[in-house]
Amino acid sequence: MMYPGRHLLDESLSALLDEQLSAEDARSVRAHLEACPACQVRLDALRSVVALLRALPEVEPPREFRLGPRAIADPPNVVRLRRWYTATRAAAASLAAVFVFLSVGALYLDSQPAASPTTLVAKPQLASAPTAASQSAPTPAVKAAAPAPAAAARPAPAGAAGAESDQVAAATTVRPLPTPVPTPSPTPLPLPPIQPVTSTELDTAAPLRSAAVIVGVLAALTLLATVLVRHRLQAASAHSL
Amino acid sequence: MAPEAGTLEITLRAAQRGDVAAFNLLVLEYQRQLFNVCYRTLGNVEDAADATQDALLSAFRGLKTFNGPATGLRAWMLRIAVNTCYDQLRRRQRRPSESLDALGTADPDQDSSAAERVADPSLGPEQHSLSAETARHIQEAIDHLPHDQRLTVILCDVQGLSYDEAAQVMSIELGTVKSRLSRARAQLRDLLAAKGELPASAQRLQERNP
Repeated sequence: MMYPGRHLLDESLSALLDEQLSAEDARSVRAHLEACPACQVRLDALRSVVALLRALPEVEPPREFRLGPRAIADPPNVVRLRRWYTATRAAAASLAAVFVFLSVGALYLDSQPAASPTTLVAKPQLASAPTAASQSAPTPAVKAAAPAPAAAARPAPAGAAGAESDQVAAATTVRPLPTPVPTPSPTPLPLPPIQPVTSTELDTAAPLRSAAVIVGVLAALTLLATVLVRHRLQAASAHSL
Repeated sequence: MAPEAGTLEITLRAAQRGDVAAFNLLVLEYQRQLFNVCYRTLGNVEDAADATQDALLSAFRGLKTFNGPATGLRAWMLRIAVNTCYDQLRRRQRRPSESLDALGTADPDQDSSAAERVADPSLGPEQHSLSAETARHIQEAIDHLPHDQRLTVILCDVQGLSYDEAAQVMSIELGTVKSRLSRARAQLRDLLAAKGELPASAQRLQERNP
């Protein structure tokens, strides 16, 4: 590190001032300084520099730096974005919930008449059969009495009538012992309203489906908006930090 | 002046939970030193005050990430202040019109009025042995140093931090502190000798190598 014939490095002189030299290096630096006035001058100058720097007065801060509620509060753009984020998130969540509700509803209604679409013709027959059955347990007896009022009450499509008569024929052959019908007269009354019920059931699924599609699209859009707002919010709050 | 280690620890933990009142106790403890580091680095009161406020706000927001013992808090706070100053200096370099004022011009007479305007209200009552003019010359010399050297000499010689602490604050090696400090001191020696601020014996140095 030290060469007798050469001058000392500023780094050695600086380290000597701070007593950062090893004992051995310090000895050899001092030995050089004894013999070299030029290096001694440089050392003295460095020492003066350090003394001047240490003597620099402390400057009084122009104001207090304690944090007030306003300083800690987020900047207005972050506040605005956070409000937007809350709103879009709530909208996306509720639209998604409505979407799920409508979808489940549509699927449920779809699954209900699932058996009928195979034979549309059988529809009125299927509808009339349970009502007749609900009247009283033994079907064949009803069949015997019911066909006439039922046919009279309804427009009675030809196919349905045929199927009905077939079934009646089958039923009578299977059950040869009909019990007397307690009330044959009420049957015509509930029958007419049953027909419209089945037809509206078929129709309700369609508006539900389209509503679900619209709400689903809206939910996706608000979700996208939420993601975008969140992204900008993160960027804004990172910037303000 | 400094609170007991136990008190400091408790205050720190409360501040980390978001207690602003507790954090403000820490502010009172460190604001003076942070402001002075910023002032010596940036060279004027307004920028230094802004940098100090920014640094303290960043410190409050990032305090949860500080997981060392409370004794390391000063170095951590100083590091935030130093980084804030670096940002400010970089911004100045991108705006050349301001950097002329900030870095000073080659002609010392030209920028003396600006420097005086900056120095006079801030230095306050001159109870120290240094004259206002000498203090101004030293600050101008510091302003001429490269950023890294400037911060090293401010932390070690103006603020009196140990090499270890300065290394911690600037996230550099001990050897780097040593070499930056010696280069900064040597450069300040030449700059101050040129202004006639060094003792007569040292002025001979200036005559020998201009």
